[in-house]
Formats: sequence, structure tokens, C-alpha cells
Amino acid sequence: MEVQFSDVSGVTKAVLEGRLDTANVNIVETRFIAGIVPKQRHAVVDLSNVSFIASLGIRMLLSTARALGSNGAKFAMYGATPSVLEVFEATALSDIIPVLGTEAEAIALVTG
Amino acid sequence: MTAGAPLQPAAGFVVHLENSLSAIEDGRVALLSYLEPFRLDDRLINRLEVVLEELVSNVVRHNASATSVTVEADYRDGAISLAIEDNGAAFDPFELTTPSRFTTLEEAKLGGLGVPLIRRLTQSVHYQRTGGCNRVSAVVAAS
Repeated sequence: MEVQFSDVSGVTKAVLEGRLDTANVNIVETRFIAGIVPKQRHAVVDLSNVSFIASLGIRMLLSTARALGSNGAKFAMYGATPSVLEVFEATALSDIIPVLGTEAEAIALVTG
Repeated sequence: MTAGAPLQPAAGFVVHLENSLSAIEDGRVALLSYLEPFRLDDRLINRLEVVLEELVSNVVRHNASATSVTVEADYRDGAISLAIEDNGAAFDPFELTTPSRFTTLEEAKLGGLGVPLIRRLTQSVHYQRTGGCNRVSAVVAAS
């Protein structure tokens, strides 16, 4: 499981790659949150290379979005595969965290 | 015991694993190998993987008294019967209160997300305490 961070127009961009299963969330969660929340600015997450997600991955995304939101910053995701989207819809995560198709749409939403 | 269709045995595939974090991945790889000849669609496989992950992870993370986890599966008529059995202390994950559906980011509960996810991705799911073991049986279908 990999996570890479970059800055796009003042927005934190995180790119996740791999399976967000129990073992991998244990490995990546601390690094993921530390790379986004302390900056206290809007963030987008590229999920196009995430092939699987289960409840611990949902919890990681939810806790990050909530911590960011408590600082007044916005959080959005984009590029989710059909498998990941089905889990977002089953948990209703996509009802409370925006899931967009492209990076440009996600950046526009958090900066708009 | 939860509501749903009658308990269905899972028998075509059986693997016995030690109760450790690696059981989740080892069980997944073995199960996918069993299912490979059936050429199932990606949607069904993903649902099955999520349900398997949640059920085995429940044992690994919440039932330290278990020493073994057994995964059974059977593919028939477009659906997969799945059963996860462990020899730990009695633990029915479906007795726990299911968190309410997310409405706002601020009010969303961070814990207990696995059980509602299992319910939504299965046709039926049941818990049994049998022969000193916990046994959860689920049916996963493509539609």
C-alpha cells in the first residue's frame, strides 16, 4: 500500500495505491492522516489505483475528512473504481464525503 | 441469530487458518483460487472479498481467545455460500447495535462499520454457536 502527497494549487493531493484492507490500513493510516490533517487546508484523494476497500479503509477516510472539517477545510475524493464505489454507497460514505470523477472536479469543489 | 434465509452449509471449499492477521489474506487467496474456474463477475467477487475480509477481521481483531479460523465456501446457482468458523469465546457480532446510516460528517460514528456493510452486501447472514465454535454463514450474490 502506497500513499504519495503533493500540492496542487494550494490543495493537498494524496494518491493512494493498493488495497485498503485490514493489514494495509494498519500500515498506511498514520502516514495518510499525518500527511493531510496537520496542514489544515483543503485536500483531495486520488482513488483510481485503489482496487479494494473495506470498513477500516472507510473509517480512515471518514476520520481524516472529519478532522479536516473541524479545521474548516474541505475533503473530496475522485477516481473511485466500481468496486470501491459500491462499498462507498453501501456504507453511505458517498452521502457525506464528495466523490468526483476527476482531479479537476475535486479541486474545483474544495476550492469553490 | 439474525433474520434471513435458512442457514445454508458451505462445503465445496474449506481452509483452516491460524487466528492471526495473515489469516485474512491467506483465506482470500485460497478462496479466489477455488472460485477461479467459475469465472465470476468482478462485482460478485468484490462483494465476497469485502464480506470475507469483515468476517475474518472480526475474529482476528476481536476474539483473541480463538486459535483457529476456518473458511468454507460453495458456489451454486449464481450465489456463494460462505461460512467463517472460529473456536474462540462466544461472540455474535450481529448482536451489537448497528450504527445509524451516515447523515452528516460530524455525526458519523467511526466504529462498527463492518456489520452494516456485511448486511448490505449479503442476501442473508446468520450467527450460530455450535460445538463450542462461533459460525457465521452468509450468502453473497451478484444481484
